[in-house]
Amino acid sequence: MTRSIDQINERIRSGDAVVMTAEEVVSLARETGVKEAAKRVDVVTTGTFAPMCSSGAFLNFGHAEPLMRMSRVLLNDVLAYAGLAAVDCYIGATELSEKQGMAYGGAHVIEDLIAGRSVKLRATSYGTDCYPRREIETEVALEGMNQCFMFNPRNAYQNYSCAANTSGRVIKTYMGTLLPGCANATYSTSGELSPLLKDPELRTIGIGTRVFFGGAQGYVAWEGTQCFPSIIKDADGFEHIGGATLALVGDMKKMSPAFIRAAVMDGYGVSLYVGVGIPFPVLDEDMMARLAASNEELYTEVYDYSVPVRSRPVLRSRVSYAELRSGSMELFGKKVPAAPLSSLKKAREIAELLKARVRSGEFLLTSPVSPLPLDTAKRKLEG
Amino acid sequence: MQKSIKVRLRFDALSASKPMIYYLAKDYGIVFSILQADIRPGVGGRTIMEMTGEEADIERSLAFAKDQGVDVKILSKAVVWNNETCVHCGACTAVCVPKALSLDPGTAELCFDNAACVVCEMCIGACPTGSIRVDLYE
Repeated sequence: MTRSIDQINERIRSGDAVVMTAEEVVSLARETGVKEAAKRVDVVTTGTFAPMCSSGAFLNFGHAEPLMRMSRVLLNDVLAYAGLAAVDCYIGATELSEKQGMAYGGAHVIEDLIAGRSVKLRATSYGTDCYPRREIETEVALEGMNQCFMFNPRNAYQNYSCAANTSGRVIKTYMGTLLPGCANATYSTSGELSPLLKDPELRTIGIGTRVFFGGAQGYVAWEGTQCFPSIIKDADGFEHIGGATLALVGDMKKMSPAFIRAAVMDGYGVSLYVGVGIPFPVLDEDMMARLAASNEELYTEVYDYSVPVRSRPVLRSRVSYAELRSGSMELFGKKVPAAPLSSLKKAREIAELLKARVRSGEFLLTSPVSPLPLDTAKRKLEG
Repeated sequence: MQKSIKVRLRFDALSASKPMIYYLAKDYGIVFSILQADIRPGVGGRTIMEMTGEEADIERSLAFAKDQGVDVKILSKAVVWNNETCVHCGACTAVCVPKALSLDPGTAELCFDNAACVVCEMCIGACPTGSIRVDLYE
């Protein structure tokens, strides 16, 4: 049994395509087997909604009168990078407010804009013959600006480690607040719903792949930063999938505040919850076998976040998402509460919404323009 | 009837020097769980605690405390969370040791069990969307 993406799109257009969420397909394959599930289903939708720090947006304000080449740009007192053309800037999600510190940042500016709220723009310049104006203070909103697109260099991590803290004090990390003596553990993956865990070999995802991005249709622009896809078999023969990331681009004006939200990680800083979903074509049984992988068959490792070095100590080399989802996991013979940082409720919402959009024909599947590299060497910074 | 309530006791410099909790426990049979305490000699301060005992004993013990110059406030609603801004991520459940905050295994929605809450306030900082606050004095 094989299907091409063109054939699947034809079935979507004629209204015959069978579309299911990854959770539904896990149950279906459990009942009928992978072979039968592959026969029955054309498209499987996934979703994730988690803090993704490497996010931000390019904004073009439109020209002021007199003309100005903005060299320093503040949006609600958050610094945006303006080392671009006259009225272009990039607002990064993790940049902190110069007045409010960690309570407000670039992610909040992005959320405010997407929610339709205006933000205060303050810009200064050194003034040139062609751009004489030296300062401006005004309000800007999404609808009044030219192109505003989110360009996130690293989103949709294929898999991510689970964090715990062996030290004697509370530590505040990008993985949340970790209690001393491994009194809790946090993880940030939607498991069997997580997009890149369902296509570990990146057979169907590449440059140009259309994805659900913050409520709108977005695209894979490039491999994400630190994209190091890997499938490693451990000593017991269990496969560990991980490492791929995506650089995503999408129109902010079409996004929804339901799927883009600012996050403050206490004591760490600001991040952005990004909702991402990918519909996968069931090309063949191999593809379905991957898509039907359940939380029992998907694993991560537990690392000690109290040791801030490149290779953090491994506290447990294999834990399944089924165990983490149960609310607690075993660590050093103790039952430790395990809590997610990514919203399963939102991930489900995204997979369901994407299912409806594919079914209705408004969201067609794409063939990658170019594949993502699978064998990038990981470099370290010396110094 | 057995009852369990949360109270805030505020002490002035004088009442802070008395072994109040000893009297409340010994004379009225109250079982205490101290949730917060910040009392300095010569200054005073406050404690938040859970008191468990016979309803009549609790009432009499609080009347005694007031008589000794302690300002007593019964706390009802502890943690309040805003369902509009909550994204149900679960970050707050990571720090909720008594498991008052939890994710429903079926719907994956955040649930709050007021009775289990010890008002440690860890969840307030841990919530990435600022959706949790504590109303102590309602």
